[in-house]
Parts: sequence; C-alpha cells; structure tokens
Amino acid sequence: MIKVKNLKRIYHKGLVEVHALKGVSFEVKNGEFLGLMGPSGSGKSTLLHQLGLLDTPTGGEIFIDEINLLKLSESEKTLFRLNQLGYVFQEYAILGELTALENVYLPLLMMGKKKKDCINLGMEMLDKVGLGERAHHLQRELSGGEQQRVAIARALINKPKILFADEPCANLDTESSRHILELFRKLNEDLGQTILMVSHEEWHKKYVDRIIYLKDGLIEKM
Amino acid sequence: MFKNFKLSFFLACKSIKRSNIGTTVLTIAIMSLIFVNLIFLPSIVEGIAETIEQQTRDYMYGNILIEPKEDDFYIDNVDSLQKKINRLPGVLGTASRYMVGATFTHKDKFIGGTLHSASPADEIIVTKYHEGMISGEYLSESDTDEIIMGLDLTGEEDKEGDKADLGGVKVGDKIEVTFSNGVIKEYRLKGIFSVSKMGMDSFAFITEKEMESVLGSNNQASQILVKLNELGTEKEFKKKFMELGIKEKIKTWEEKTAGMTEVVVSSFRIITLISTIVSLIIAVVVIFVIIYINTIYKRKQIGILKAIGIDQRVIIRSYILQALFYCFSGIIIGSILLWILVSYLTTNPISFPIGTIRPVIGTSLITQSILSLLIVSLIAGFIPSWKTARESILKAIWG
Repeated sequence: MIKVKNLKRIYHKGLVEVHALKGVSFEVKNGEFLGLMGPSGSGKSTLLHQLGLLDTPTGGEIFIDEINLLKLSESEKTLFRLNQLGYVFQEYAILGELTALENVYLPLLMMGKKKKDCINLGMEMLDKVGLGERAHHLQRELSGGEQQRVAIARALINKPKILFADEPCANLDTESSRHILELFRKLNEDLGQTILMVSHEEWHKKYVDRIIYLKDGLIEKM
Repeated sequence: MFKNFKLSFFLACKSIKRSNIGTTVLTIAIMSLIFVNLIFLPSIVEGIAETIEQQTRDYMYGNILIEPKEDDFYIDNVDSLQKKINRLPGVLGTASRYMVGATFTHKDKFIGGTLHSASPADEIIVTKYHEGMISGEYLSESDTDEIIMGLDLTGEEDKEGDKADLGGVKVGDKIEVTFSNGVIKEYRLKGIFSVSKMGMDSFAFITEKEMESVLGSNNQASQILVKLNELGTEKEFKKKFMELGIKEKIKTWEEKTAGMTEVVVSSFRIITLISTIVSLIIAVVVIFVIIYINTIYKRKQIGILKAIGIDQRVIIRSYILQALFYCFSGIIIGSILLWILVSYLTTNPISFPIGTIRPVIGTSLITQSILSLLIVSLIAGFIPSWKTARESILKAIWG
C-alpha cells in the first residue's frame, strides 16, 4: 500500500546541509501497525512528515495506493491529507478556540458534510475514544491525555487510509500512554487501520506489528 | 470562490466568540470612531456649503436672477416682465430691485455700501430679510423716508474695533444717504437685520417707490429675483423664460455662485481629505495589527489546520471575515453614535461666522465611507493572514 523509494531530505541551516534522510526505501502493507524507532536525530519524525505530506522530500518517491504523492499539486496534497490521512502529533495539536467536539468534526466540515451529520459523527468518535462526556469542553479544560485522545478522534473522523502518529505519548504519563497505545492497537485490530507510529520507548514495541529502526537518516534494520 | 465559505465563517465565529472580549470591544470602538470621523467632518463641510447656497438663494439671487442686457444699465418694462414670469406655474414670485452705490452717514461716522430698493410685498415672498430683523421692523409699501440696514453697516454699540460701520446706530436714528447721482437725503432707521456674514449684512434697503423718486426712473430694475416652488428646476425655468422671449441675462443661482461655494469650502475639503486619509490609515493599522497579532499568536493553529487538510483559502477567508466583523461592527456602532451626534447638532446647530451649520449627510458620503472602510479592512485582513497561512506546515507548527 505504501511504497517508499530512496527517500532523501536535506535541510539547509545557513551554509550547513543537514542530511536528515539519506535514501530510505521500504513498504507498508494495508492494515499494518508499523513502529518507527531510533535515537534522536535518526530521521524518524522527518520520515513521517514526508509520508504524511507535511513536508516535501529532496529526492525519492512515495506511493500510496499507486499514487505518486510527490507529483501532486499543493491543493491536491491538501485534499489528499483531508481525505486519506490522519495525524496525531507529539504535542496536543488541537485548536484552543474549539471544543473537543468541534475539533473532531472540523475535517468533516471541510469535506462539505452537513453540520448535523458532523456533530453526530463527531460524538460517535468521541465516544469511541472515551471522551463523550467531555465533548463540549475547551482545550484548557482537558488533561494532556484527553487532548491527545481528541487529536486521535479528529485524525480518525475522516476514516483515513493511514494514521500517522508522531510520538503521541511523548508528553503523557505511563497510564495515559498505555490508554493511547491500547486504543491504537484496538483500532488496528478491529478496523484494520493502517498506523505508522514514531516512538523511542522500548515498551511501546509490544503494541506494533513491525518496527523499522532508523539511524543517521538510514534504515538500520527492519 | 465561496466553496467552504461556511467553514471560514465557522472558524471566524469561534475565533471572535472565544477571543479576548476587551480587545474585541476596543477594536470595535476604534473602528466606530473612525467611521464617525469619516462622515462627521465632511458632513459639516457639506453643511457649510449648503448654508452658503441656501443664503445666496434666500438673500441674493433667488432661484433665478434676471439682469440687464449687455450694455444696458437697467431692465425696462419690469412690471410686464414680472407679470409674464409670475403667470408661469411653478413660479412662486418675483422681486425687482434697484441697486445703487451710496454713502451712509451718522454724526461723524460714514460708510460706503450698496443701497437696494425693495418692493416689500414681493420681497417677503422671494427673500427672507423680513425674518432676519433683529431690531425694529421691515419696510412697508408706503414707507418713503425710512431705511432698513444690515448689522455690518449699523455696527454694534458696545463693540469697538477696526470694523468700518456707523458705530452702533439704533432704530429711530437719522441716517444721511448720499446717492451716487449726488442726491443727499435723510432717512429714519426703521429696522436692523442680520441674516448672514456672506456680505448680505452690508446691504441697506429703501422702498422701490422711494428709490424711483430719487433716481427719477420708473418701471425699471437692476435685477429681478425669481423664486421657484421647487429647488432643482432652475434650468427648466431658465429655458421657459427664454421661450417667453425674455432677452435679458438669465442666470440660475448655481451659475451666479459658480466657484464661490467652492472657494469657501475648498480649504475645509482639504482638511477633510487629510482627516479621511489619516482615519483610513488608522483603520488599516488597527485591523492589520489585530489580525497580524492574531495570526502570529495562532501560527501553530494555522499549521495544524493545514496539516489536517483545511484549505489555505479557508483559513485566509476566516481572518478576512474577522476583519469584516470588526469593520461592520464599527460601522453599526459608529452609525448609532453619528445618529446621536447629528440629532443633537440638528437641534443645536454649530454657530459659524457665516451662520448656523447643521451636518448634512448624503447617501454618497455614507456609501463612500462604508466602501472605503470595507476595502481597507479587506486589505488589512488579507495581508497578514495570507503571509502566515502560506508558511510551510512544519514551520507554522514548530517554528
């Protein structure tokens, strides 16, 4: 389903070139829960950003269901992100001006769905992540774990083909982290959700199907 | 273009609803004051222009002024000419006048000026001097040895200064008038009027009968003032008068005052223009700063919105809508303030040297002000949101 060929990303910091990805190639099957692990600076987040169309690689190719993502225009990429991909960031990336429910159904509004349907689907999704009772609370009224669950609900509301999670438990305590990872596992098992998750915690390994280890911008082992 | 407008509206509403109430109130207050300023000053200038025009119609020219033909000193057969004009439907009345140079003397004081004749019954229909009597009475048809004078000629008793006048003569005082033909005659001051500082208070009037006896003329006039029922029909009546075979010079009040109003209000208009430009710059700066700070503060949110697939145009539009919200709220509050201000000044007009001025607000002034505020708000809302929204997603989220 996902094919990555010789993916490179070079950043320019002043006159210095930083080779964050030096040519990475791999495949991910439908319904797979893939972990991306490695030390700091190994390129795991950079790789996730390229796959999730949040950044543009310097070289290489990315195919999702035979679509060459790097050939898409900016507006096509935006549409692809909206319809096919879901994101959970390391920080609780939810919008402070919106309630938990509004945060969740926002992508549906962009897809042109009726507000009533958006609310119903949003509530359903919040129930799934165990936050039905917190639907009308603003970001500042939610704990870190709850905010991350809101972000997960939002990432899943459009039924994405792939869910990208960039160290989703980095700012959570062990208990909240376990809840999140169990939720991912459940989504993967019950709904066949394809998940790519970046992590550096050894104990997270047990939740994923397969791990790709990165080191210095290259795949160390798969 | 309006695809996903609802989402932009949704984001804008939430942003306004959950923003700092103090900032919102302050922004709207500034916008409303800017709107008041955009309209108020020009409305006063328009009020000045309208007062000047009104005064020239009411005291100097009527709606249409008929003057002697080229090379003629007087209009002849005035009675028949007046009858001919008065018969036309839409003509309220006519008043003929002689105008002669004269010197007015009282004791050791004297002043030169223009002496007009008036046929009181006609003048009352055509002009409003009779309403501006501040002392004594207006002329009556039978008056022969009586004169009425403007305040600028009579002067005020207790006011010392450089002004040339008769030093504060009172009703009943004797005024010696030296006519341009050398005739010298004494008149009793019957009344003093003050109607305008546009020169009309330097006029003096005796009856037509008296003027004709001094000048030795009959059925002639230096000018005929025509009063129409309806303002704005002057050109149409000028044409009708020409069709009646009137060979004298016929001019509408607008033709007579051409440029005069402009000269008086042009300086005010420059001040108004500067004030308008400054107001619009303040509006741009206020909205720009508010939206700019907003977008900088919410840079991460903008990045998140883009990351989850929200179109950049939707985000920009949401900020433009916020700018428009500030703009329209300012216009609404400003309109209320303006209504209060104009209502007050209509009942308590501002006293200017040329007379009392009421603000005049035309549709074009309102439209122009709303449009200009709208345009600057659109620009000031668009630029900062566009600048932030076009940043890369990762840079917006993580800096």
